[in-house]
Amino acid sequence: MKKLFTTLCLLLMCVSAALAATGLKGIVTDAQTHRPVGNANVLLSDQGILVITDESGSFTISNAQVGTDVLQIIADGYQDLFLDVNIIGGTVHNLGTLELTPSGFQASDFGDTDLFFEDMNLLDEENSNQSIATIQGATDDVYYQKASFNFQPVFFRMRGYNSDMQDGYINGVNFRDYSQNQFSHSGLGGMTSTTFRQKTVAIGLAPSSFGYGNVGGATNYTTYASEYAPGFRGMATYTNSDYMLRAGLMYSTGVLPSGWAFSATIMGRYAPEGSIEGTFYNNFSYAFSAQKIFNDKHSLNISTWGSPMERATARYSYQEAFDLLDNNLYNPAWGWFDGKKRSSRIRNTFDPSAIVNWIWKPQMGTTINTAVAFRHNRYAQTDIARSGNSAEYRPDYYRYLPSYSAPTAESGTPLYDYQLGVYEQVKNLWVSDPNLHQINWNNLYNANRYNNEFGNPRYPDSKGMSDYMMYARHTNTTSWMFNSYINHRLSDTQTLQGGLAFTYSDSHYYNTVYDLLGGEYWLDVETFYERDFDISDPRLQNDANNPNRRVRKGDIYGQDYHIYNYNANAWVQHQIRTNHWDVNYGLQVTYTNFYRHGNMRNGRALDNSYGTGKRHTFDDASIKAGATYKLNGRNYFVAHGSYGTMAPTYWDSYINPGVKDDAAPGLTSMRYLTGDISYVWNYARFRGSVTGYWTGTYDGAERKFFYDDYLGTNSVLLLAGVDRRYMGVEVGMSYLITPSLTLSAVGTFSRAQYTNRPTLIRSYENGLYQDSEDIVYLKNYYIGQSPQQAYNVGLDYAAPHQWFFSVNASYMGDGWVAVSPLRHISMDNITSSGETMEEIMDQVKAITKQTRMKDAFVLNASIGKIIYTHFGSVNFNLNVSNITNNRNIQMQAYQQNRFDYSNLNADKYADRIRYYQGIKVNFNVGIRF
Amino acid sequence: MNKLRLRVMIASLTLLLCLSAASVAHAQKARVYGVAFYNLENLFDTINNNGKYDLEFSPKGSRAWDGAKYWKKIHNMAYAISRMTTKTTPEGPAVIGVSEIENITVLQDLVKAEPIAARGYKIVHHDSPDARGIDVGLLYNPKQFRVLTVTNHRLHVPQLPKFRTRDQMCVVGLMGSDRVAIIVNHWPSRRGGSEQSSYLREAAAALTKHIADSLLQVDPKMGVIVMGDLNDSPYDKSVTQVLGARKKASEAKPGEFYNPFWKLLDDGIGSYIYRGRWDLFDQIILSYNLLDGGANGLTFLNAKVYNDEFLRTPDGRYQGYPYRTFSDGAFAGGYSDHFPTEIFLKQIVK
Repeated sequence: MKKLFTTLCLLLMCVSAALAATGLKGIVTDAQTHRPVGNANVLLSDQGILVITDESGSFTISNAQVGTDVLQIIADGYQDLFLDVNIIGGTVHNLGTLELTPSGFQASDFGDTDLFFEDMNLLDEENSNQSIATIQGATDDVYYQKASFNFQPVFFRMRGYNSDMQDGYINGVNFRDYSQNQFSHSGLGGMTSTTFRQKTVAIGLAPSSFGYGNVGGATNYTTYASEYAPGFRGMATYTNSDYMLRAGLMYSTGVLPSGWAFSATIMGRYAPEGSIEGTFYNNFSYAFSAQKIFNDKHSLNISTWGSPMERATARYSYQEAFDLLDNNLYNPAWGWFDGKKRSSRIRNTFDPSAIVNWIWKPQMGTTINTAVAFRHNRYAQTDIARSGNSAEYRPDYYRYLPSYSAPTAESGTPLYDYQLGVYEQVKNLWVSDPNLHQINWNNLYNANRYNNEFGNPRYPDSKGMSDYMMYARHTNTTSWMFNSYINHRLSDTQTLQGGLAFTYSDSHYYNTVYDLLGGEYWLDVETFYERDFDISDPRLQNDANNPNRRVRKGDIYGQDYHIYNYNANAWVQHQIRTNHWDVNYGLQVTYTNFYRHGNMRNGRALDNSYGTGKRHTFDDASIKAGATYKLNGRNYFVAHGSYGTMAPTYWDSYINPGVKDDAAPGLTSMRYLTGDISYVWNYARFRGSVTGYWTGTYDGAERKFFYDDYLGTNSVLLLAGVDRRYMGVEVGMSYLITPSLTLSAVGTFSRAQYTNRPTLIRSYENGLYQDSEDIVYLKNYYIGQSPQQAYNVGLDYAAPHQWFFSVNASYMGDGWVAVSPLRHISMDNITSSGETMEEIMDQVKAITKQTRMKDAFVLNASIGKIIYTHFGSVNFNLNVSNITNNRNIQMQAYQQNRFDYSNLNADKYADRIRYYQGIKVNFNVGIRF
Repeated sequence: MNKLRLRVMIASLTLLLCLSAASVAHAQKARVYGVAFYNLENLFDTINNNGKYDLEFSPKGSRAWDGAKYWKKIHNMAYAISRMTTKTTPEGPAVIGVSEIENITVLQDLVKAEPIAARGYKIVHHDSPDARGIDVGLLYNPKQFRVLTVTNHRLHVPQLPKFRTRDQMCVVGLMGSDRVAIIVNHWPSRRGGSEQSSYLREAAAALTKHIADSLLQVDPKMGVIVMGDLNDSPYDKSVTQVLGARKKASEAKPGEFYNPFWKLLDDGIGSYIYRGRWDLFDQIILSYNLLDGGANGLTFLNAKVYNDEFLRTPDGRYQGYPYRTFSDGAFAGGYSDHFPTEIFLKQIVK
């Protein structure tokens, strides 16, 4: 029974299997030879069914769908056979023998014989054809990214270079401000995450497509309206730094069907009082771009932006003052007036610019970008001026600081105790009374009020003359720029770049009366020399053409001159990219011409200040080259080198342009030689780079302007023939612990030093002394301020649901107080500073010692969240830097340019220091829709 | 003839025979077929015809996707394809698998575009149920490739009954007289995390393996090529374990696969980049039959990623990255966020 049942089941299965099978079968043969055709393709193409005939030519399709169809048989060497078929469910219909007609040719007969290659050679032809694409952009350079963001509290400068060794471009135009000889970041108006968010960065000597570049690298910001994503971008920020609140809104249209694109941004930053007492911040920024894309070849873009700002800034002070007030952020530049905090240092700036770019793409791979740009930069900074016989107003003037009353008697004596008592009294008063450690405005007003009634005793008929006033130093620079550059693809492996640029700038320097502080007029004479010269002495005059002028609010006085600067340059660069090598080399030539035009005949330079002065011309050239050897896609070696000359800035060339036309003798271009090598690796989890660099600059110049206490006159220090060397190692790496957790570490160990004994030219503004020259023993002294070692370690975590966490810690140190050359010249009376050679040497060491700045440790963290909604996205970001509230971070420190030559007291004039704020919070909400 | 002379004669005759045999072997000629894949980055037309998702790619949508941008993109993609030539394939690839295309219309516009119109590419296309509205397709040069059958395979994921993604398209055809099947893929994305979504791509790999196995049952000598944007790297589980693709050709056994792009990625060559790290999602994987010693008349020669300079972003924050059509929401006017990839097959010409 069981057996019968099993057999029945099996039978049933076979039957049902037979029932399910639906299709066709047959045998394919050659119509002529009647031999079976194997390996023929038999298809029901609409049903996607394909079977192959075996060696006997037979085939079976058993899973076809019911209905009519066309059976196709395709075999090499035969004509295709098409057969209408009707497929009936449940049967595999036998079509019998199907004959194929030979076609007379094979598939292999087809094809261009030119495309038949030797089999043995094929691998050689194809094999070495894989090119390696390295990523060398700034976005993925771990060291550059971390160093740029995390070392800001100490004004870290990449490689210790001066800011004139980096270039900033906007839409391909070099926007160097010749009055400061650097790119002005503040001109971007804080719109770096909106209007100026698109940028290309060439690090160091890496080649760029927009310019020849500079030793320290170049950045090009682009503001073409077509490049902004359409929609709104808004943000609101609360922070506790220079400003407190920031809000911005940007709207872009993207490219519209008409070919137009528009983008506009407005932003404001405000603080009634910043993190430093006595400062405030009022700023409004705007930007607008419009672009018309005419066709595939031409487009025209116009961009304009500006950022009018009024703010009160701080002044650095001395460690004694910080210690006494227990406040490293003590700002001596303000005082109480009328129940409010009033600052003496108000800065007004407005720097509107406009650029028109014509972008022409004559063919794929070639772009020519031509631009005309205009810029008018207005800068005014106030301070307090005082007439010659009035008291110093600065609350931290060394004679007002308690240290001036420090006991000088031998300790233990009654005199010492008495002096100590005086000192304690002075100290307590100074610390407790804001009218003593801040500006006493009422005193200033009172002095002027006295003069209003009785006049200034030194001057006849001087009722109403201010002894104190607020004045403004102005620099207004108008620039016109023309720029054209080309990017051309020569072949699959080579590109060519080149360009031409002309810049004309007119910088107008002058002083104005800002606030007479209750008086009626200010007498335009050089106040510092009132004790040196009789009132009838022409040397007292700032403008001998208009002597003893009485100026009122808004009037120009004191100094009034223009510096005209012309600059032309041309550059060309060639880049070659092969499978294993990227090579670039280029050349630039520059022509610089500047001269001064004075509007006042200064009494101390009667023949040498009024009118157009001497023209100074410089021809410079530079060459650079670089190569990357790509071992494979994961390891490469990079090397760069450059040699060239750079014209001096006019600011470092003129000895005292406010007074006279004289320039430093032997004015010459600075030469530089620089090179770097790197090893870069890029593995799935671990990537980074190690770089060693060496830069030498020769015959450079530095200029410092200050009041010389000893000689009682304003002085200028010009260092000429300065040689410097910057060298070091930079390391940056990042490791993916998990796909969402990244550990990064960067660091640099470097040395930035003077390498020779430059010449110091001292010029005395009062004209009582001749200009003098000295040798400055600066060799091997550190250039100062920017820390020579900086390290940062951080963790970034991209958590689920769009949360982002980040924590990092920095150690920045090995920075040195910038020295004053005055302490490093030969002093004849040094031998009388001690009795033994040892004592004398100790004194020398005390005088020439370069102080190390305080090392800084900073801890930062941030949390972010992005929410995507149907209308756009919202992001929150809380950033807390300096979590440990480290208030001992020195941002800047320099020796004063005063020295006690009479007593050789190294401690008499303390270093000027600026500290960074404590904990800094930044909370930002952004929205995109 | 004495014995020595006879021996010399035999020896020289043998030598002659060997030499001529060798020279016959040396004189063996071959032709090369290119098999490429290119993720075209959102090639949508400007007509909004499926409501929510297509609004984005229409003139009124957030991307302001109008005729001017569309034709520029068509021209650019055609230009990129026109540059996919090598010394042995100066006419370009025989077949190009494509992904991220909206419909057949965009492919029709693409093949008619001036840089590649002369090649006369024909289209194989099928609408996928994918939620994003994108499909896969295949372009082929009729002078080098003949289509036999096309089948489309839907991916069902048991854990997600409502999951909609791209069908896998299987095109069986002839290169010369050799049969080759190309399975064009666009596996599910990494949205939600690569580990969390791995099971979706493993399911896709299982489907591909099943298709490949069925093909080998029809013809054990069939050359099976699995290509596509797999959204996984060559070393990920879906590719190495489920599909079973090996890093070295010598490691593959009959019925298994070889992935030439694994070694390329090891050497730092990528077709896609994220935060400075290259990856190689766009793979072309070959079955054992196409390797040296395999049964098929076509033999694998080498593999390549096209990372030419013009395909890379020239400047900005993403300098050096694949030059995209849209970047950060703005129309960048480039090509694609993926590089095209290609493998080369040789065929001895008899």
